[in-house]
Amino acid sequence: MKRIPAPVRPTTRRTFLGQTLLVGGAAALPLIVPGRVLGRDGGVAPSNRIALGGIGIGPRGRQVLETMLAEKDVQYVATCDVQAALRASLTARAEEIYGKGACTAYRDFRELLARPDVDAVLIATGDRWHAVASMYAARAGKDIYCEKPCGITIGLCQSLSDTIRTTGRVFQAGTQRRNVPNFQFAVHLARSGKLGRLHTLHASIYKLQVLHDWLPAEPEPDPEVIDWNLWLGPAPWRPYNKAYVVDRRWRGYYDFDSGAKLHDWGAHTVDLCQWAGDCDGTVPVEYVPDGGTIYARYANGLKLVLRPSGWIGQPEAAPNAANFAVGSTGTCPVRFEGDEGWVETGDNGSIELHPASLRQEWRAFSMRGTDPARHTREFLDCVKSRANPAANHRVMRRTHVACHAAAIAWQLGRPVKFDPAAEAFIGDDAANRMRSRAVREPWIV
Amino acid sequence: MNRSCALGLALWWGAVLAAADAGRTRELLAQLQPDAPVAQRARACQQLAIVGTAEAVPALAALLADGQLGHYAREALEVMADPTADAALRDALGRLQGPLLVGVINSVGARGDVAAAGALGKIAAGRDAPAAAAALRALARIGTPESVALVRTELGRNRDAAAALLHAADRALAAGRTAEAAVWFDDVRRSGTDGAVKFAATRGAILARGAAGVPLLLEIARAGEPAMRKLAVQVMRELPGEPVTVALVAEFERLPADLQPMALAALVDRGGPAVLAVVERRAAVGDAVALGALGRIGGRSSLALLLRALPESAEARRSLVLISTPGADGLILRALQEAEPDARLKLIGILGDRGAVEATPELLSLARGNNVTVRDAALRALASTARPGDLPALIRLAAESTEENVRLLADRAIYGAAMKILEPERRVDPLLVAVRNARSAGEQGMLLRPLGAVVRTMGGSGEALTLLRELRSSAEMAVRKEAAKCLADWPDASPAVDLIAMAENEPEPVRSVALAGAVRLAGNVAAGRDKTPLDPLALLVRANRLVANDAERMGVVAALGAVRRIEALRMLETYLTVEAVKTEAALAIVQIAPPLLNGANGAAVRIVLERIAATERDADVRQRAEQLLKGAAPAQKKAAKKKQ
Repeated sequence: MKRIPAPVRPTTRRTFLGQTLLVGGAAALPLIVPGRVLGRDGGVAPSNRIALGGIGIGPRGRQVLETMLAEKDVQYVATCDVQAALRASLTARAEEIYGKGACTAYRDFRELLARPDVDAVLIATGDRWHAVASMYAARAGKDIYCEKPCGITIGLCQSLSDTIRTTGRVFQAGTQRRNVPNFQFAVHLARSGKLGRLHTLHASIYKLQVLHDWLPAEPEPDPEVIDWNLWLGPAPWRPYNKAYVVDRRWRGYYDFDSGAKLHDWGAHTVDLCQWAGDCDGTVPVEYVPDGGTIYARYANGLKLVLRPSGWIGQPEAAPNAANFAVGSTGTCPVRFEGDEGWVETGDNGSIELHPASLRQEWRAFSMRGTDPARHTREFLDCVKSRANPAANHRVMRRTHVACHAAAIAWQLGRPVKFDPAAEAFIGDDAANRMRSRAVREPWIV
Repeated sequence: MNRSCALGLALWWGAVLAAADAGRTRELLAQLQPDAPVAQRARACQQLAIVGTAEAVPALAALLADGQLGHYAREALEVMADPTADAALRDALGRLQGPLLVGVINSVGARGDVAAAGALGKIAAGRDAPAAAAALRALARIGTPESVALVRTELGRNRDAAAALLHAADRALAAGRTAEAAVWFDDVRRSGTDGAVKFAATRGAILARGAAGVPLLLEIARAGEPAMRKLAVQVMRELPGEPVTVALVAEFERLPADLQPMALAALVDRGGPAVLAVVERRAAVGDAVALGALGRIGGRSSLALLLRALPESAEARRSLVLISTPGADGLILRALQEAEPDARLKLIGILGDRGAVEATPELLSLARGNNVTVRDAALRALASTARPGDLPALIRLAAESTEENVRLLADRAIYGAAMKILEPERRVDPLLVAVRNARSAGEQGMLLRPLGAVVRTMGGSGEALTLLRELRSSAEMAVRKEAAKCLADWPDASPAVDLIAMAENEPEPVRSVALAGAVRLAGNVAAGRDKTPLDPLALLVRANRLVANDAERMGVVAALGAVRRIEALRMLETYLTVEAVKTEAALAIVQIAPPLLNGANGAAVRIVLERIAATERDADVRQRAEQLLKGAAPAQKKAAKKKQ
């Protein structure tokens, strides 16, 4: 980890150049620094701390960030958002912990990435930015924790994975259930043969939806308050409407969301199925949509069912049933079936299984939830050790490609066949065209 | 169907699809007219991206210079297989500038248009820095020897060339062209670049050489630059092959001392017999990383090492818990039997954490001993190791003790053993038998605690409920109190009426336990969390007569806040003058008032709400009452946020 320089004041484009010139020598400035920054309270000395930057930290990003702020070996030194209100909120939060002036705010993430003292970044923007911002971060030499879905097309997921491979950075996708005990237990049962020969994996998904309309145009705000052009980033241009930005009403839109909303849950649940089926190195070869359900099949015959309903204990007409899957095991359920048993679990941590003897394998009944703390801790450990985290770029790539392929089948409304090695549909030009979309200028993939 | 028929059918189907796409293309082109709304034109481009034929290329090409729609046009052109799309984009390279040019260069690179290399080479050598950077990357993506040569030409002249060549080199490496990749990685390293690109190129140069890259790996591991040394550790994990492992192990001791812990962790991740030898060697001299690693990769030979290090090392303890070599439980148990008293505690804890079944007899013996610390540790470990067959011994142990602490720890062990019964509905059976056969009232009461815990995980038990109802008439107050506790925590409202009867007839402390339980269970039914057939109002009326303090009043008021009946509101109204609970009562009233306002008692309800609106101190409650009086539904709390 690098030495953390003394921060100065919130940055504007105008002051950026001068400020970056100061970074290297700022340590010589006489500053009053809190004792914990110096490691005197039993904490971690600056030289061993991970200097963290945050990009696009909204409500979800804040949840993840808080788990990182709770770690003594992290110092949040820079925050970036296209919204002034979020910039102010995040710097204030950092100042609560580290003291006045501890965290510098940026509107343009490229300025944050140009800081040589930043070791790692948390990227929690809307989906449209995840892949491109992560690629820029990797090229700038930063390690990356990126919220899922990590790319809104197959092409972007491939490019992101390739870029992480090229640059050798540590990358963790925000699919934290790989580090949540009840899901780990279910996967353990599947992978260890305790369920017999696996034949079907079930992944919960949202009710699928694609929106193409544009909200009514409104006057663009001052970019210092909301930078609409930067908010859009690599996504296609459309006129400004406050609701996209402030109310986060971008979900479901073809231009902003990932794969007909399939990734919102699928990035987690398909990821767990891939893991359970020992399929991290491949994806299904066939996808057959049927209503809101997609039936997929791997080359070895293993089936993958992506469905929004039919989960144990799922209410018939719960208020949210139309939106996302929830059963008696909670939201985000998965189910793994073998010829000798099955297991189903979800976010409330409870585990349904058969036969009951499988429960013998499970000792920690109380561990549950979707707390990303173990996942973020693993990322931070890997930043230091240079090891590969659980949701690394290869794992992300396969999971996301599988989700995208399923979503494309659903959007086309017909079965498609897929070649996992070529990551291309077989004999289906329209499906292959949907694998990628040009990014808007001036962004480079 | 013979082959020619199938071929004919396929050709026919292809022709049908092509005709459909051609028709759709013409429809979409009609929507692209300049006088059409921009949103419609944008959407037409996106649909052309999926179904558009070559016929759409000219119209799309004409949009490339459009500040709003140029990108939409590229969305279509970038994915169309027809070569006219290449030609259109190449043509645009010569006539666009600024960001639009950068966009087209990106698209050309994405398509891998070999014929565009010359034009891109000129842009790469030009003065427009953003366009040059994009052109260099596009040339690298095209990836032919000729296009990469153009990138190499710019090395040293344009900083972006190094990053672009890095990209090309990595693609070559991924494609197995290792010799070519090594040359290009070396070019980048020698180009004077620094920071992220230099690190990535160094890493690539090692990986491209395979086992022959080990000397370079060791060179950077011994370099002074900390970031390079960490990179070396990363590559230690990435470079494949057992010969590499052997070479790294051979050099391990000659690595800088401060790098060795990280390097050892990397070697452990590589695994293999050569690594175990070096790890054990390090563990023997107390290396914390090595001791910690033995939990993952250690063998039988590692156990003695770990046991020796145990007194001083937390890592050794952790490894002794995790190590999976056959016979480990037995060896650790033997160590416990031979250990000095001071070492026993750690070994007992390790056996417990391992869930070592064969340690149970020894642990039971220690749990009966005189050393209090050892006894408690053994009881804790038994919660993991004991099996259903051990229940009689555990129950006997608990019954024989007069110390509350021992009984509490024994409870956990009894619970843990009962929960290991395979059939969930049978988990309570041994405890029911034990309660019925208990030799004393004290033993009976003691056994009700783990019985209650097991019942809660089962979601209730009819046999257990029958037994507890019988025990309500026990002559012993202690038994009645434990029975009331069990019933008060029952997972559904089945025993609610039993509890209210106990509250009416029992003295303290049974009365208060039973009353709290009855109110809780009635509240669950009233709120819809429990579907047990029960009239919660009738039960709460009885409970209301028994309340003796503010805490009990608060419980009744809170439960009434889910009973949407005028009788409940009347009861709550009486609490509006009781200082300790009046705000809670007012809140309960505004919660249940909406359906009552339109009923026969609407006027009376309004009077109560007016009183709350006029006198309540809590602004939120007051406001909700005011909103109800105005006819508006009070604002509801926001639904729980969606988890991610």
